Amino acid sequence: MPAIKEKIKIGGIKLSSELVQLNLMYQGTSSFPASYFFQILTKNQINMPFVSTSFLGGRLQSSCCILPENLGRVKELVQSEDKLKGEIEFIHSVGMVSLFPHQYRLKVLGIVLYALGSTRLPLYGMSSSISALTFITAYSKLDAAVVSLAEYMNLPLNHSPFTPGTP
Amino acid sequence: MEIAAVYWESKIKIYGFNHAVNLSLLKMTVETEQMAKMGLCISKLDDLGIGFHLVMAQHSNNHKLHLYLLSSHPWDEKGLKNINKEIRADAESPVQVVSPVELIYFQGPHFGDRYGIAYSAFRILENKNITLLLAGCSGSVIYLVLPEGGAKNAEPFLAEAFEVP
Repeated sequence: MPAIKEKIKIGGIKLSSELVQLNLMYQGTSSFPASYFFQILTKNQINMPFVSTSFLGGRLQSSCCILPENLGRVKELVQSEDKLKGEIEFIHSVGMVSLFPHQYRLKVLGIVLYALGSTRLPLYGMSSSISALTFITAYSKLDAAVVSLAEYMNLPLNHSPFTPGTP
Repeated sequence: MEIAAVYWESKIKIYGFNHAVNLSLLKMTVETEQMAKMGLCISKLDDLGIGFHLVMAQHSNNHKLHLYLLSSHPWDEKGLKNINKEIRADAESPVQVVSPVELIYFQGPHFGDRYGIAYSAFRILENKNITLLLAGCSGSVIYLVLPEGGAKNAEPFLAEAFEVP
């Protein structure tokens, strides 16, 4: 397989604190089960620093991240809801990596996929925002993810240390 | 006793609504082992001058990666065939396109640090029976991808839940 040879310049990489990812998968005619799930989290004042939802071809997949201290409460809530029991997959100990700015360039996305894929690092989710491209990987692999990305990206010389911060 | 301060608004303030219409939503599905190959393919699309409005990826428990690419690029059959060829050798098509679709997005202060923001948007769409194809919320932004005509339909209802000061 050919490799990516040229490096691209980015402004920085930010790492999140440890999180838990929740995936809801559902076959049906609407995206409303996701809304129902988010309603339950909202009623319990549980924040989701990352959310992605897709509803195409009758297949709903919704993912979100929560802080580990909310996990016990969320598990209790899911167990008490017949509609959600058994429908949620929990991925423990994940972290978010945000690269900025993405400049709406597919090169940045291509490099993330190539770098993670060629070093066999997991990719659990991703979403772009106005300036950043944020992806989720294993929390224990955050350093490895930065090393693999740095091979294809030029970072500022005065970049702050890569330490996990707020979600 | 622990006391926690929580910032809550009866009507969530945002910096305004933005939209884009006549977009294409490309969905690519690959085995997770094919991720590097997909990365190379995406990188080549950048060389063709194709950009994006939103990218999103989801991992499913059967070791598949679903990548969603929302762009203004009008995908033709030849372009899709090339992507198919690049990311997978077998005949089964891993690429789907939904077009035209529309995007509405908005941002607000500290959205990522506050509960209930995404739900406020989803609740409105659900109550008004507006189909949501894709939603991505990271940082302080909420992106909603809707079928053709959806952005115009949704904005007045979203404006009831979110306030532009």
